[in-house]
Amino acid sequence: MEQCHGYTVLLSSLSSLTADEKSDLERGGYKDVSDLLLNSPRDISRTTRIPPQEIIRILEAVCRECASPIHKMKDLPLEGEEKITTGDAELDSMLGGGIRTGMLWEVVGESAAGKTQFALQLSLFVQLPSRLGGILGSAFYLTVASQLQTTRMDQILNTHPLLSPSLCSFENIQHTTVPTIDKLIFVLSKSLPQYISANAQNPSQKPLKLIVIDAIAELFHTTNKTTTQFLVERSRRLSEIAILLHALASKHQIAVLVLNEVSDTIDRNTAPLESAQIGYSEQFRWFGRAESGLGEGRKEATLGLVWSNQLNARIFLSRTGRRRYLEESERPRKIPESIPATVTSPIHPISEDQPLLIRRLTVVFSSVCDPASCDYIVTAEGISVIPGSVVPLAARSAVGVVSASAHASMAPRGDLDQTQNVQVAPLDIDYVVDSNDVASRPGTPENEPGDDGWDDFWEQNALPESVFEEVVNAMPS
Amino acid sequence: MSKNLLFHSTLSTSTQMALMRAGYETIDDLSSTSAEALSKELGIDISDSQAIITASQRPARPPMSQSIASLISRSQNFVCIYAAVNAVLAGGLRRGCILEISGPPGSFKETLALDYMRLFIEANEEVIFVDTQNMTSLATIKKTFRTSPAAADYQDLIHYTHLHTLPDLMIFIHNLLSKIQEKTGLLVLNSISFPFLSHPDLQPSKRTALLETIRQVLLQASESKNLTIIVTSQMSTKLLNADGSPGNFETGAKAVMVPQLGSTYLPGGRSYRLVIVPDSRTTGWDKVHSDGILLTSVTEWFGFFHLLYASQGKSFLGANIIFQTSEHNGSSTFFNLLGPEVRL
Repeated sequence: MEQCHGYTVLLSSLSSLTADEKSDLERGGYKDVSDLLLNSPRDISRTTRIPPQEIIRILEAVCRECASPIHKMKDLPLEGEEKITTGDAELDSMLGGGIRTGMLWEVVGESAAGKTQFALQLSLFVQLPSRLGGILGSAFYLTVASQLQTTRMDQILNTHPLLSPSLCSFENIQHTTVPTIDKLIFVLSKSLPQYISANAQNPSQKPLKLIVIDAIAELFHTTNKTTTQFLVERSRRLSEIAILLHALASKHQIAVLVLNEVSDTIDRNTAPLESAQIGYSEQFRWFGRAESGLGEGRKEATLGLVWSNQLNARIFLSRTGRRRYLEESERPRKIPESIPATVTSPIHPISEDQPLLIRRLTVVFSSVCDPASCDYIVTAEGISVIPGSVVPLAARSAVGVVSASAHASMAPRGDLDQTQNVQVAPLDIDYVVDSNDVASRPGTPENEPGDDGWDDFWEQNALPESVFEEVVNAMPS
Repeated sequence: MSKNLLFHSTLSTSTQMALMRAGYETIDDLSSTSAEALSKELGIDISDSQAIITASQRPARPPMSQSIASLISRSQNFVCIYAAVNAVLAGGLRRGCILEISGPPGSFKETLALDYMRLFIEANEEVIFVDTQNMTSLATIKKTFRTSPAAADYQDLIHYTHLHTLPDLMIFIHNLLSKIQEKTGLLVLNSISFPFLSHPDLQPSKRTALLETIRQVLLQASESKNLTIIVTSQMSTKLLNADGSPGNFETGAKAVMVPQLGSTYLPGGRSYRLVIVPDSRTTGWDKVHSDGILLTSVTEWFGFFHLLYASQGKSFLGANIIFQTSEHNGSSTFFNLLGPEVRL
């Protein structure tokens, strides 16, 4: 589907503007369409000396030229139908058929709960033909602070019954590290689009269908004291990243899988809320934790509401501390004898005598399936759901039957007569986007006059374009 | 037939009853009377009769000299499958109104929008669907309508597009009026808050100007083209000090969730804000909820928050129905609409 990327279209390239208009606008500092769109006609008029009425007419003409047609559904190619198997039929079913493309999925959990396993598996399964649950795609695996676990991937490749070296290879998994936010944004905005279009011109290459980020929370680790400024900045960067991920996902029908970390759940005393207010702490447990009643509420996803808002689906992996002996029918297939002795793995081979560590997978929310929860184990093959353990959670159809019994009116503010000492966890607070409040917010250091000096500095010391080109050329093919 | 006058939610039930009893059916019927005469005739306060006259002078309705039954084959009121939503909207979503649905991740905002879309499709009207953060793919829409025979033409009626950034949203807004066809009944913007994240550093004054532009276009679309508009929105966290004033993290006492964009972009007199949250009035580790998702909407009437409590149903631990409208009529009889007569 075509999309008009208004912010990249240069005014000079438009046919609906006269040469005079173009030069006037350029003199005023307006270079591309987004400059024109995001400033008010009055401001533009002031800096270009074009009368406001003219500006409005120009704006409408530009918008008409940049408009992308909105097609009827019947004229559009299918989208959102491709699903990548997870290698486990019950898990696929829970997820609505598998991991769908054109969406942003998050897998969040403690270390050793199986997040990386999930991502490694998927990087292999995406390559399979559709008769085996794949979509003949390739993967791009981005690591932040860790190394790509090629040995473990090898083990999965050699043990899982659906996979085989003839169908999947490491050549179809590109890898790069993104140790900083800037590097990630560069990869998402420049490197990946270039890689995708280069790929598209080569018919023997599998199209990119899976992007993994392992793990996003590592980009935001900080030892500094948490301040409002830090949180506002974090929100900005997360939003930037999210926009790029969603654009890639929809334009190229890619499944984006982002791994996230957890932190300990803090039982907070919250100040009493006015009756019309929706308390953040209370709400967070519904979308930030896996609460299926079996003890996973001790951990919650990091990066707060801003990041949660970006996701189309959240899958929560928990270690439950439970062990049990599995019945024969519940076990995944035994590891074939042919595993080379040189393959070392962190996972112990299944022995019939030992109870297995049970882990829990919860779909906390999803735009394509209902919330549900199941038990699973991690074996040499990867993640295996224990058959029959799938439990659906919220029933959406339960909405609606309420009876109105009374009404009361209350003033919204000022009823608190006691000031409670409230522990608001730092990672909860996100960027407040409220136009009414902005005026009254105390100025952050960014607004101080001294900052103009930095603008000048960067203007004079801008990084040359060649720097970015060098980085692109240095990337592994 | 007096449904015509019942569309205006500012009128209390008793006022509506009085109008009906006196034989007032259509807006035209009122054109020959005055507030004073009406107040005498119906035995109501002059302020209430003034409200009726004002309400009857709303812009841009089709000619009302016939009774509503014969007038329009298009339905004017949209009743979705969720009884609580319909109750909170005083009977349903009126044509030409704007509905904002917000809520935390996992609340069924998109599902609700899809249900309204279904109503328009089944009435053979066209829908423009804008998806900004991959929440509702073509596959999801297909899955929703595939099994519904009444919505068999959905592929022909739904116009679908993606956009992700703020400039793209503004291009869409500027072109919206020209995209509305004769048969277009509904616009769904899913979600409207997401594109604003592409320019987080945009100065507040510019942001407000953009929101104001959106408001003007939405108003014109709903007034002159009778377009019904549903937008979904994500929420943000707002820090409030103990006295309710805005705070920041260093001083913040409590964090509450509010719809991300504020009300600037919503035209007054025809907008509704619905907030959907899972019930969370009880905190307690021993209570395992079946995650009953309830409706909450805020009534804001000249700055006062009015809350209508609902009693506890079987699957959830209590419901807050809050409903916000930016109607500028000062009648306090609004709340009677959701009074004891409404039984669900």
